[in-house]
Amino acid sequence: MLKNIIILFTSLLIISGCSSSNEQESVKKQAPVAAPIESMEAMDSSVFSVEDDLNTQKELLNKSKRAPSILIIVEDDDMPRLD
Amino acid sequence: MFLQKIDLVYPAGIDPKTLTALYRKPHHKANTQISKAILQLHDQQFPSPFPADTQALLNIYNRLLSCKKHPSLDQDIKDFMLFLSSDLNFGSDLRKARLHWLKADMHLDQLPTLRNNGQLPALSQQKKLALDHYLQAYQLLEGIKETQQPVSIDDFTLYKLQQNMLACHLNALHSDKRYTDASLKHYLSHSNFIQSSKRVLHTEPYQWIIARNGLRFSSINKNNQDCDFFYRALIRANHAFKDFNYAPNGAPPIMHSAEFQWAIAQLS
Repeated sequence: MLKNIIILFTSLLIISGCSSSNEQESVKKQAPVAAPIESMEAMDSSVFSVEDDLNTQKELLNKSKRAPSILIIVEDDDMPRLD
Repeated sequence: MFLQKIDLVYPAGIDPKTLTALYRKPHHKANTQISKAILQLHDQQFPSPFPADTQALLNIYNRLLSCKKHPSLDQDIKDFMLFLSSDLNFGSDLRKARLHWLKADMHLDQLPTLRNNGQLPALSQQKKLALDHYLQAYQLLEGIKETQQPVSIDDFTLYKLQQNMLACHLNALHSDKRYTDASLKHYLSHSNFIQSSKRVLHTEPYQWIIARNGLRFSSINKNNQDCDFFYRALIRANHAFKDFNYAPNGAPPIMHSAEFQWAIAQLS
């Protein structure tokens, strides 16, 4: 009986140990990797490009305010034949 | 009186409220039996000037076209066309005119599919065939009208052919090309479609389809006065059209249709 309890306790310890080591690994996987200089530069340029896009969109919006608004085309309104 | 006549063609009778709703609200769709009774009564009061056999062929074609589950639909339409190509050479001018009209209908009905599939050579060919047959029908009927034969051809019958010819130009185009297409503008400027529409509306002011088409082509022409005329005619036909988002039975709201946008901008 005591032998069985010891085996059960030991196996529980082993199982909990395995799961905690997996958690550590997954935390390692999720942790941000230190970015090299090149990727930092790339990030900076991507930020600039987003700003550029925003500026372009603002310009388009301003232009669209000046131009007469055209509604969105939804479907082809075909003419039915008359008989 | 009218209800008594309806009872003769449809013994079950139709509730006057239903009839009023169908007349007053173009978005209401009658059920099959009521539609059949009204059409039967209409045919009795306003008999078609065309021979009964040509009307029967038109009815067969319309039923075939509406039966999308018909297993050999495409082949049967092709066979029907082959028969018509030969048959339209026989009989009176009135008969020939109606069969040219029917053949043109069959070519016109193919345009949206060919346009949406990008089959441009076939689209151009079918458009040309439809226009040729409508024109032959128009010339034959004009000849009959001028010679004052026993059969009377009214303005509305000729208007229908004009409208169908315009439909050949319009339906061959995607919405975004309809303001700029040269062939459509050329046809509009050289036809008397707008004047004919005004004339027919004078005698039949409840025809909202004519007013709607008049507004559509006045918008494409960018003619402010005509837009105003047809918009008023549309509202006179039915007040519901005051709302640009109103959708009658068989047509989308004008707000959703590209060709009306210039008119809406002027009228708003």
